[in-house]
Amino acid sequence: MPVLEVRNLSIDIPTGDGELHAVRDVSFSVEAEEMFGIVGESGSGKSVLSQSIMGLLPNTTRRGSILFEGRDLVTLPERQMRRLRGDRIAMISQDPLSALHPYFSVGQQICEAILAHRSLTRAEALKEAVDVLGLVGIRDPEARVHDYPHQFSGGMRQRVMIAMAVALKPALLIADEPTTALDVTIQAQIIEMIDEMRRELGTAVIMVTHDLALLSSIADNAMVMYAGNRMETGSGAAVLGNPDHPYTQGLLASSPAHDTATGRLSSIPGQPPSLLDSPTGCVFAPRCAAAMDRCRTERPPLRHGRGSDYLCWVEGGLSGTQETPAAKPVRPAGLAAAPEPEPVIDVADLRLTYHSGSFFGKAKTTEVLKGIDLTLRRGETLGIVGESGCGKSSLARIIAGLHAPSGGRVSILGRDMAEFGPEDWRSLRQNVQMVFQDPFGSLNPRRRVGAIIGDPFRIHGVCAGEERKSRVRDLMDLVGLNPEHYNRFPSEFSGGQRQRIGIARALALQPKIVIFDEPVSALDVSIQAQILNLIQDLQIERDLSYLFISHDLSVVRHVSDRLMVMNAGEVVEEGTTAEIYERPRHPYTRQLLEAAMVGARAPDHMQEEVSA
Amino acid sequence: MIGFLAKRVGFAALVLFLLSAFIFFLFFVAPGDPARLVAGERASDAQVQQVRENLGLGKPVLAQYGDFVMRSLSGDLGFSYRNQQPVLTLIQQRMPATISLCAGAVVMWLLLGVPIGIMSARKPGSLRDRLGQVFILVGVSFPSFVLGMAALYCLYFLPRKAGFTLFPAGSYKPIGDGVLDWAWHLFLPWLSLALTSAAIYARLTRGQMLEVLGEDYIRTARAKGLKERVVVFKHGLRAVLTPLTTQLGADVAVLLGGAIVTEQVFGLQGIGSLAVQAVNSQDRPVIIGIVLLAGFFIVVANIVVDLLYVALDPRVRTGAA
Repeated sequence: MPVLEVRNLSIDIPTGDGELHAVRDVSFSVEAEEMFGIVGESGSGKSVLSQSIMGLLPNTTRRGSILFEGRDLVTLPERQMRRLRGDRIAMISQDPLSALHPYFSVGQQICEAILAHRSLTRAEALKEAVDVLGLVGIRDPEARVHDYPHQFSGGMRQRVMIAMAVALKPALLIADEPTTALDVTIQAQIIEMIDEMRRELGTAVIMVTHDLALLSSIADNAMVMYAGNRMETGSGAAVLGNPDHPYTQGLLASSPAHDTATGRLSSIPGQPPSLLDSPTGCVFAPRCAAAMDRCRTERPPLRHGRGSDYLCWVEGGLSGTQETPAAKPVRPAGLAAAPEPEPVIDVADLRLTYHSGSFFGKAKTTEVLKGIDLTLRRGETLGIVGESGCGKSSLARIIAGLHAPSGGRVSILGRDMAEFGPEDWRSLRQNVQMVFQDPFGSLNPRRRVGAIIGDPFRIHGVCAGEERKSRVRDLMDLVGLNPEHYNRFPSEFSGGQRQRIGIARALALQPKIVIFDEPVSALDVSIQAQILNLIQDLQIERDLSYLFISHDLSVVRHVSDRLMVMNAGEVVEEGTTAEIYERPRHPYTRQLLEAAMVGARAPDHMQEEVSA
Repeated sequence: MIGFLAKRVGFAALVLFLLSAFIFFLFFVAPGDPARLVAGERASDAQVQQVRENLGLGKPVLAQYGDFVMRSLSGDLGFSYRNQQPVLTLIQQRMPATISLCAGAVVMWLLLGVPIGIMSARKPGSLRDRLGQVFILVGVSFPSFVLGMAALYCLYFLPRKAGFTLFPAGSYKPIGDGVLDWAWHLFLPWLSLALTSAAIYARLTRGQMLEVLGEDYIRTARAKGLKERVVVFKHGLRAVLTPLTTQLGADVAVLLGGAIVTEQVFGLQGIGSLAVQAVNSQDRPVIIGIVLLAGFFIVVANIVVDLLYVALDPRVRTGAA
């Protein structure tokens, strides 16, 4: 008997704009000790579904049934549901920093969970807390049990969350994006930890994630969700390796990890639909290359494919339904043939040190950058990889002239920044532009898009009035935005579109150098591919030089000609992308690559199958 | 910790010193002749001169200030021009009433405001929340003297007209004479002072609580299977305590420096009414004494709030980044 069986579950969330159909007619089941993956992009309903199983969304309307150990959770009274929560069903959430209460020690928080369901003394509960902390690999648990969450690192905090979740040996563990907020080397450890726990305790695990690569290596079974619908369900290998549904295929193809040659990524055109509508046909039809007339008018049937069940009108092994990637645009021959284009950025022994005084009067010195050397040549892309806190963003800010370095030399387009006069600074602001990570936070919500993109023209006095307007429209067209949306506000755009706005703004003054600081890490895979393609096209078209910063190795690998690996304020390795991926020399680089490989195993395996 | 405390105390002393200098020289440049005031309208010029000598007002201003600082450090704030009593004695006489008024009002507004705020935040948009919001709007909109008058009218005047005494119009009975009697006499002043603040605290609690209840760690607490009561009052309220403490520290400090309006409305002989009398009669030593007292409460409250942070927030205690 399965631990959890969800049958025809629909979840509606009332909002000011109407009912949000977050989950529509979803069915699946999870056996004991199974790792069940739920994959989907943002807005697919995966988080709503998982929280609804826990009964944590009180204001929603649920139809269908959620059978857990023989009881239907949809109709179970709150009092009984509460007894199950934490005891039989436990949860690990995305961000371990905000998921632990900052004012209680980890021991108090774990004990609380134990004492809520077991009649033990405080001392007994504390002993169990120590045991379970030891189990998840916290060193010296007797002492650390009294520490507070902020005294643990991100990865350790997530271990504490796992300890809290498994303390009562639940039958079902729901992990909602458990590694998204963590660095890549830590991610692998946490996934291994969860995998180990489920085997040891016989716990069924539902792993909710947007990361296909991660899931493909560990999931026994998987379900792909899109706009609240279950698009495809089946064994992990089939769904994530050899999918039948056009959406799943498109999703896999857009992942830069899956693409080894640095060509164009195939992408899924368009945007996910609004969950407020109730479409009559297939929800994916507007973005599907294989869509037929019928797809738009009738709900698709559930078909049995090669190793999965999928919701589609098209029968049998689909192939080549996504946008076939056009060949990578070739660089002008003259440029490629030139032996060494001139450097546009030359950085030598760059240092950045912060001094901070404490209450006790002892001054502390933090070295953020410890002597960085860097050269970016015209027309090339230099990728900078590193985990959070390695100094990569500080480096970008210094090069963009937004922050003064403590030492070293930065020269931009052959001029030393230390000797810059007002005129040089003005031209720096034209020639070097930045595209920021957070497309939601980096645009002023109260200003119209046309005004945001036109700002550089206004500030530098390039043009005004109708001319400015027409140039802004041209830019919007260039980055794939509808110029008719000139007067809209940023909130009316999706994440991917906002990033296009950011790129349009950056390109306004025809810069020579563009610095991308994690430009796609806040975006979904299918959208990420669109943006990466755009970035690459623009480089060729406008002869741009790129500094591309990311923590995501597959993204950096896809776009970069050369790579620089940073750790703790130092460059540990530098070379061409191929060199570094094939023959990493520094142990840290190897560690990063191996960690990223946790997910990459299955795609390799998929390629073998496809070619066979 | 000790170093931190020493530093804060040193800083507080500096603030008080600067405050004393400011207020002292402010009076020196202000118009009016205190010697004439003390000596009386009909005194001869010679008598006024005599008084001026006696009060030490004939010396250069810096010397006067030096005398003042030296005397203050030994605990002598000088004598009131009006009735020749030591300023310190006057303040000591008036302090119990002000402390009583402040303590009762604080308890009352916390008991009223914080639960209303929590109740509102638990179900935003519900009937309870709307009622809470009405309370907040009314309380914030009415100045405390209007509320005081209204309380007097409804709870004192109307019952008296009907022939019985529900509450006295407000007068101060020392707590030593009986706690019930003390509380009964102060009930109306407490109420009028507490209503406005209760509304402000309800609004603050509601806002903070709404934010906290949306945090991930509250979801974690629910996912542990804790009772809703525990989730709200242990996990939620714990996080709201810090901003409440900050606000409370500042409010108590201000109140201890004299609740001028409430003391006037109810005729309480506290610091506030002393301040009004001193200002009206240009009684410099008393005014300076009260300003220093108010400043003293502010700096002490700040230190106390900082110490409370250490107790409340483990991130402060263990030196988080």
